[in-house]
Amino acid sequence: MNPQRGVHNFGTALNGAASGRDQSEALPSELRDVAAMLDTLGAADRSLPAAGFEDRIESATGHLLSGAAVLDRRGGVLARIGSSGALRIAAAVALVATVSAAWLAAHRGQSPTAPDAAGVDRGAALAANLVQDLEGAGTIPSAFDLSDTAEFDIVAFESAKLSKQISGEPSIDLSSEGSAM
Amino acid sequence: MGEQDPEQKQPVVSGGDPDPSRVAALLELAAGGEADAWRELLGWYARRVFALAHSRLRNKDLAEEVAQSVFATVAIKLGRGEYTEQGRFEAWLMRVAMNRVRDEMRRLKRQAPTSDPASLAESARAAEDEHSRDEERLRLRNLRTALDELTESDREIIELRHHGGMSFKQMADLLNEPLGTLLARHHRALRKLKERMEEFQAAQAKAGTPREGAA
Repeated sequence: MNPQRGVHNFGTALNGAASGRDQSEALPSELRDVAAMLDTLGAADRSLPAAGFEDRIESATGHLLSGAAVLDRRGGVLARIGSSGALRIAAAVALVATVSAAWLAAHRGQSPTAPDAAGVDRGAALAANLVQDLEGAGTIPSAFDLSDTAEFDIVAFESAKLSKQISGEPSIDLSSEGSAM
Repeated sequence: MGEQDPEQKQPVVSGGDPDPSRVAALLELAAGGEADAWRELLGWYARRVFALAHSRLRNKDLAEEVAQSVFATVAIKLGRGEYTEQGRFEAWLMRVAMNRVRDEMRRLKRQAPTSDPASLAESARAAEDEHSRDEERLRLRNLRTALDELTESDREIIELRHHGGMSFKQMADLLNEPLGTLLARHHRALRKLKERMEEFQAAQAKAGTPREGAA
């Protein structure tokens, strides 16, 4: 990838970040030193990534912008379930979640032999979302290039989230990411 | 992947944040799959997200992974048309970043903790080595140690401001707090850092040997 292509100079942008802030803070003189040191520390951290940092992120994420990538993801769920250990686990979790939803519905005062259909549907929908989410994670290179342990972490995390959603508890704080501000 | 122009690695002291209308245009173009627009957005924001993550994780590779996952989330949301720009992109981006950093911190705590201070400080020191003289390097190390001692909410403000490069208005949007409250909290956090730094310096002077974060 040619870092020179495109319309933007990363260096300029980088520094705009640090220098373009509002000046709404009139710092007392005794605090200016520490504020300046924090600015130095922040600048050091911003300049820490090696050359090609933005290129690597672009390579890993650029394809996610296109609608084609999204369609491809959705179309490939079943194929990926067959080929991915993580997704096989996810499918198993989804099945358990569906059964759990039915069980929960039954425990909310309904007949255990005839669980609430809406509850089952909800469980199934959540399970499908889980599979989709994990399948989506599988399409993201590098950042989600996970070890088996990390795959189990994700499944555990998603299972916990799913369980909370089914039981009506508020979701984990990540849910706020989805809302447009 | 080619080698980066050395000029691009160096901070430029002028520039400013992108104009909000420019950000909106870039987001729209990027949502349509326009690679140059996405690249420009990464140019404005990727290192800020990285710095925010690095300040907390103290690990270059992890911070880069967090940055990648943050922008993967943003790209997916844009690609699906699930984000509508209303002048608050930066606040949203930093919220995603903060949540991702917290997730990573939780994950690290669950796993065998990296209690080796040398490992934790390694990448931080690498950055400081490049940019500082010895004396300044020591002060920056002390500052990082003092940062670790701040409360979560104080530290958040400091890092959003000085690592994330956010304006107080953007931070007010992000944290849902009045501007005046944020300014007061920022002052208070700076004062705590200053006091702690002075304590470190006094202890180091007394010991005669510079020690990192010695109290």
